[in-house]
Amino acid sequence: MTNLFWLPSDQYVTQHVRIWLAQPIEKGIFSKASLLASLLRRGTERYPSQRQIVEALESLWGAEMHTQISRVGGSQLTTISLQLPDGRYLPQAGSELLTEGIALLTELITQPHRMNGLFPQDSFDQEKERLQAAIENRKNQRSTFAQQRLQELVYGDSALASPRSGRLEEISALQNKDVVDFYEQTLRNSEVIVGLCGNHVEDFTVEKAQELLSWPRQPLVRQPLAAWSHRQEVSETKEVLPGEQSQLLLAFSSEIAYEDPLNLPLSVFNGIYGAFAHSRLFRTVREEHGLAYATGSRLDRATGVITAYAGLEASSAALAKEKMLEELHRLQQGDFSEEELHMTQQTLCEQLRGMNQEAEGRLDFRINQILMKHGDADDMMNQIQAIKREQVVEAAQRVHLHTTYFLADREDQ
Amino acid sequence: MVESFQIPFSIHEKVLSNGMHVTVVYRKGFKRMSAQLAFPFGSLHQRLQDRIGLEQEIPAGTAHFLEHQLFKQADGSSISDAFAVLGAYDNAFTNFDHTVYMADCSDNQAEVLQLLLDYTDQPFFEKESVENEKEIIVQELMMYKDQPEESLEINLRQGLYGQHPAGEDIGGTEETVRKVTPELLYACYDAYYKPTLARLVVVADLPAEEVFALAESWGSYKRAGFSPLWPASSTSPGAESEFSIVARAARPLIGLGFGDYRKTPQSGPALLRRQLEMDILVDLLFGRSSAFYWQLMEEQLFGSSFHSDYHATPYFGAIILGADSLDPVQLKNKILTYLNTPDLELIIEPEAVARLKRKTLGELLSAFENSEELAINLVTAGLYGYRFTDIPQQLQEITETDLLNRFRELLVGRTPVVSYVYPNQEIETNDVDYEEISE
Repeated sequence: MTNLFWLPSDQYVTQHVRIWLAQPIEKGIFSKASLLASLLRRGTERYPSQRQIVEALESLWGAEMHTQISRVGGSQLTTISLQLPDGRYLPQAGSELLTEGIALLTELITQPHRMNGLFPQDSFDQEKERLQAAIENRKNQRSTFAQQRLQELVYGDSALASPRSGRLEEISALQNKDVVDFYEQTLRNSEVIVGLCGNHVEDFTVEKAQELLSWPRQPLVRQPLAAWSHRQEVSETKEVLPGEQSQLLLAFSSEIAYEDPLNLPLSVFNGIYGAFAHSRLFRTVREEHGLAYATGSRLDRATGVITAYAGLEASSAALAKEKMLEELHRLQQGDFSEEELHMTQQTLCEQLRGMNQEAEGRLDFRINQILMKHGDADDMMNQIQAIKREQVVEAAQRVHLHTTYFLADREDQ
Repeated sequence: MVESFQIPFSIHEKVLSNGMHVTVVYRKGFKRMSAQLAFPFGSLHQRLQDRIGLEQEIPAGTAHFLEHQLFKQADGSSISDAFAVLGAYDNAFTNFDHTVYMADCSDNQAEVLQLLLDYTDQPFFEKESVENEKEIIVQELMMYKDQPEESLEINLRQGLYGQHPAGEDIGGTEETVRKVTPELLYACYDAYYKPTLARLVVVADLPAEEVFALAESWGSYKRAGFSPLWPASSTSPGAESEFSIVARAARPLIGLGFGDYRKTPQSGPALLRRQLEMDILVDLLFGRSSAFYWQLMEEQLFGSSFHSDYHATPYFGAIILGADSLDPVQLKNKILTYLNTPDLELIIEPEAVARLKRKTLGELLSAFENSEELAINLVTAGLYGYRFTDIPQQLQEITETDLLNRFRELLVGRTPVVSYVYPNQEIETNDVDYEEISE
């Protein structure tokens, strides 16, 4: 039986269908999953070419279909999503839109166009080339490139080091048969979760959706992800990529796992430290010292790793690093105001409220809730509001510098 | 075929006694508010008039600078802190012809709206803060300069619009940014941030009357008599039609533009109609359901993407095609040969046109889903002088003959502006110098 949920609401003007395929992360999985996601869009038995699929979507009043590769905790997630207009507002579209949409999504997953068991070779070659081009082009975004390099330096040999769209060297080695094998493995072994969000449609029931979306497979045992460990010695790397601006990144480990009671306090710490426009990094590195336009910090709650970043002139890097560490130190001493704590709690709660108003946000929230086994939005907001300054300080004190990365814009820096 | 369309929410519009145009979308039962306050001041506005009628120049990038500075409060804090205290999210952006300040929240909606109205009504531009902001904006410009796609686009716009300010960067250059002073910012605020020019759009479960009442008092700032001057339209292309630069790009990039020139600025329903016609035409010719797109894909003439778009403002417009390609010259030739194909006009056939009209209607409906996106659409429609909800009617009236006329007018026998970016190094990803130090 497919794990299916429906979030009914008459608030929306579109209907949303998501199919998630979750598998445990392992080395090389992101490359295979990315190429597979591209190939699934290339054709089905009913619509053998992608052009026909695009036409079919246009005929479904511009329905939008996307695929996405991501990681939630220790799972690799392939998301196939469809957004359809709600027939209430397009009377001629009728109530069959949702059924047609789900049928198309199911076909994409279970009946991809294949020849002698393989994906059509020209489609395979084209998608492989496109994916490689997309990965190469990411280098054009200097900050993204730097983030990825840092991720590699922090996570080293682990599967966590891989970018979500995969690695060039892995993708170039993939053969048609490899991806077909991965496809079959995915169908067999993935945990499949289906989410619907939108207005109730007459004649359309959860049972009907179940029926449309069923295929045999085995349940998956979910592996919790351990928090990332501290290093004995901080690793420092400097690289040169000629350009206009340098990138400074600091990664911190906390050894606070997702299940750790300090995990939400860590999230509050990150909010005071760098996640928002009221945070310390924005206030000091940007507003007070004018060192950077883009600066802040991000937290990966699954691994407990925090990354602080700034795009700046190379000559400002030493001062910016000093400020980033100084602010961390201050927070570790409990040197932050009640107002900063309050603003951060408010902003985190508002993010959750905002997310749980929009259909897409609700679906994102729910899949996280299922995979990470956390409470609903109200639970989380109550937990965030109840966090005391001592817990934030305790979480902050667990934060240690792990890896620094400096991408210089010229040789001589 | 006539398609019906039902507008999902009720829309209330009013011109207040202070002159402000306000639109309220009543989204009953929806817990989140999106509010946007817009002023017709963007990078194209490069002159204003002082109190005695003398023209004053505005350096490029000033509108964007003003947007940054308006967040600064007299006590040195940022207005974002006040929004955060209320649990709200605030932001702003500047484009070619307007600046938008926005706030989103679930709780404290009336207070958040009041705060948005208050801070935009109380400019505080002070020398030290302006000087500090220059450093931040220069870093922002550097960030864009580091993106080869940006250089490609700037060259393309220079070719398309020549000396017209549409050819320049919205943020200006380091040189122009350094010319900005508090006095200049006050003069611009005075001229362009007038209640009669302001447009407020609120999408929320809030009674329209409550929003109107809150906005009624906007405009308390004491003005010194500066007046706005409006940009001219872009009437002809620049001197050069081909640009080629070497930059730090992973793969070669190409952009092609066909300018849509007009003698005077164009706005109102005619602008909307043209945008809709062009969207369909560009989709027919180059979209993902066109035979041509898939031909390019099969010949691997683009790498990760080939995109096509028509974009118009009252002052300028163009069809833009772009791609990453290992053989950009071959791609350009292919496009030009394609546009000269005999009988290409046959591509404008009823079935495909009907399908794309359906798609546009569906997209219009989807635009009502996200309140922030809806507010942006309504702000733009208001400033450009048309009604967003007129789209279904306009769409219905478009005929194949209209599309044929646009095709002949904008694409047949026209020479595009072409912009190339070539990588300054071999195509290899691991070309960074690597050096590891361990403490």
